[in-house]
Amino acid sequence: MNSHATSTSPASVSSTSLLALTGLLLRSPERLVDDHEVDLQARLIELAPKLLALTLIGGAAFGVVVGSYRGSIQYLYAGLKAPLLLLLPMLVGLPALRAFLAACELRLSWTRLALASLLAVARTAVLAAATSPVLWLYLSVHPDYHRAVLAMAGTLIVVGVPGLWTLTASLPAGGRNRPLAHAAALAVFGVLLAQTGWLLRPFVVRPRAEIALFRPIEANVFSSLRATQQAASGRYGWEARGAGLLGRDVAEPAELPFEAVDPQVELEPQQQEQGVF
Amino acid sequence: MLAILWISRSTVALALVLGYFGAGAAASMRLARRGHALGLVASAWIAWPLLISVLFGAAELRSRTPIVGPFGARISQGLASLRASLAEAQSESPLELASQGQLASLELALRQADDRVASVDRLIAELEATQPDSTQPDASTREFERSRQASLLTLRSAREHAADELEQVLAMLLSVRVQIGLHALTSPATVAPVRERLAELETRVAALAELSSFDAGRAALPLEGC
Repeated sequence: MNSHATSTSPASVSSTSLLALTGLLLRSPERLVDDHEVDLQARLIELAPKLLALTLIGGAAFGVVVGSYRGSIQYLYAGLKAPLLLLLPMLVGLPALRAFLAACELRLSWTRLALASLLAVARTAVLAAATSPVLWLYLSVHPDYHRAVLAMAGTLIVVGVPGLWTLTASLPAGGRNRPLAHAAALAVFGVLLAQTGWLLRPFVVRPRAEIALFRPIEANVFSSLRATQQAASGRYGWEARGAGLLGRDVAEPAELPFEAVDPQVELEPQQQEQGVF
Repeated sequence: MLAILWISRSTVALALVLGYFGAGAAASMRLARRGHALGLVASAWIAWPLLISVLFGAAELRSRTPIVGPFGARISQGLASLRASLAEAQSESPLELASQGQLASLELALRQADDRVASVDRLIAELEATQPDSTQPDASTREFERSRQASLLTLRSAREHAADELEQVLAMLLSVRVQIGLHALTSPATVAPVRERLAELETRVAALAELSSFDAGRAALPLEGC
């Protein structure tokens, strides 16, 4: 049985609706790239708006669900920022991926790479939207802040793996030490995703906390992880260290972005409830 | 001091964001001027780095008036065969032999050369249709006829030369296809001979335009003085 059997021919994809394209994207996205009868640039021109639209819709749906933990205007804020969380790492990391593949003697046209990455991001967004009801159900039972953040991160990992697989499968075979290039790309995209999430935070806002579109730019995700690690070992308090062009040198204690670091500010269940749904 | 530092870094962040969307706006305008659909123009504003190949690729032929000269059908056939061979080779080996931009430039140059030959053909036909009045063979008529014949001779010579060059380039297309076939048979990892042959072809096609302008300059048409 041909697993690629589909009612939507890739050759006629320009005339397909978003819904039909979503089906094709979930079933066999690599077919949209591997069709040699079609000029890839023409295909990119046809598909880029549709794939971006799917990314925006899927990402926004996921963001709205994440924003439901706090409710209010956070629905909108998280809905706007979630598609960026998916798109930005790909936009920034694409040259690195191309360089890794070139180092493995796999020369790729930018058109093919762009199309493959768009397919990967769109598939991730569609899957994120598909898993949103489950996440919504979980958030509706009022888990504590940390569990909610973990649920969001876990969902992103679950939907991100098929997305990255799509990117890999959409690239041509061959080259030397190909797994090395993929491992390096995975590391780069992982770091970029984490830092993008850090820059665009907050997504999950404590029910009691003030809502903001963005938090002030300070330090980076790694210093936050270190602080979490220290908090786990009983050393509380977080000092933001300057990192890179945008990192702040030293954060004032009054502006600490993580109330979570101090266990004294953990919320009571009745306080949490006020912001959920 | 820290507050000033923080503001300046926020300004840098803002400048980066504005720069990104500014570049996106420029990309959108460029695509809009090329006649692309609104969806792609809007996409370029958001995700222009993904559309770099569309932005800086060769100018699209479809937006131009189709050029069909005496070699039009053969050029189409030759390029279609070359594209098919390249696609076949690409399925065997991941190494890219020729980019879409290269092929588009090649096609554009060939079509332009074909168009120049077609223009000369039209001029020759016009000159041949312009017969002097043979009933009154005065001096000026004789002078006109002499100039006309000289012009026709020059044009035919230039046309023949341009057509020969174009024929040779079309023959080279076949040799490139042979090279691609050999590449697939022998060593898929070695692409140098094919790329050399393609570079040679590109040089030859670029020379077509130079030869045409040289011929046009050398063959100052005698009729221009009439």
